[in-house]
Amino acid sequence: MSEDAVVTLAYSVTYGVVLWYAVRLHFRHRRLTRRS
Amino acid sequence: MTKVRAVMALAAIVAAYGLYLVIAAPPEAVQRTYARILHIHAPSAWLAFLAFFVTAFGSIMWRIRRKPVWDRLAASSAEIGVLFTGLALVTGMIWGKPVWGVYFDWADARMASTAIMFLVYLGYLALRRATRDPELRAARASILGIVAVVQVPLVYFSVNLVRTLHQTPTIRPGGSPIHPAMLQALLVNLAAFTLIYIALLMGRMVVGRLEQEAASALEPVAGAAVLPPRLDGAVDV
Repeated sequence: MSEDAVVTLAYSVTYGVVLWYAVRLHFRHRRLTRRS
Repeated sequence: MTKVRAVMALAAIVAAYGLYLVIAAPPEAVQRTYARILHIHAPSAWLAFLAFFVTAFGSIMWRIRRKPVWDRLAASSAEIGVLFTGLALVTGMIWGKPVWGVYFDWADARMASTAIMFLVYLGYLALRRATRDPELRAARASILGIVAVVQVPLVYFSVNLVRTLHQTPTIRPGGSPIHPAMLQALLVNLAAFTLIYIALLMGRMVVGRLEQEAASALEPVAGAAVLPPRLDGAVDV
């Protein structure tokens, strides 16, 4: 793996996980507000 | 959720600027491009420390005031703290393999103490799922939330206490030994991650409140009111 690929992997994992958590929160919020 | 979206948008702008600074910063003399990973690794770890301090604060406040909002703050912050501790461990591993030659080393004080802290806070989240009673859950979790925070200074100062593989803090009193461009990128990323934390915390607290309301609406209300028939003819009032 090249140096740039390793760095890209680290950034993709970090921002990917943060985005996944934010999207998950968004959908949980939408589901809960629809129910009420 | 409008405020959450506004903070998240601001965080995205600062993060994008941070990313630009990371790319524009010169490669490190020894670690070359790999040093760029530290611009997200260190903020992730900082966020984890901040999140666990907020958990302890929320736990203390719940024990004093007994209001659900403090328990929600503690729980929300712990969840995000676990997320960022996990990220600090993973980015550290991705960086560690090419630079140190190992993904992880239990003999290193910083790595081992961070992994233990990660497991303890996973335990905190598991403890919260052990009971449905919000009062009991908050009472149990608040004790662990207060006790577990002692790990944060231990993890932070572990590199000073035991000199192993991990370096000592880069940003310290009396000047930082890194290039100004690198320092600027690191500080901007630190600000971006703090904003991300604030946005996620606000969003998680809103979701937590809605979940609590939904759970209390589902509680059996008829169970306490319906009484078994009295066979002696007496009437319950």
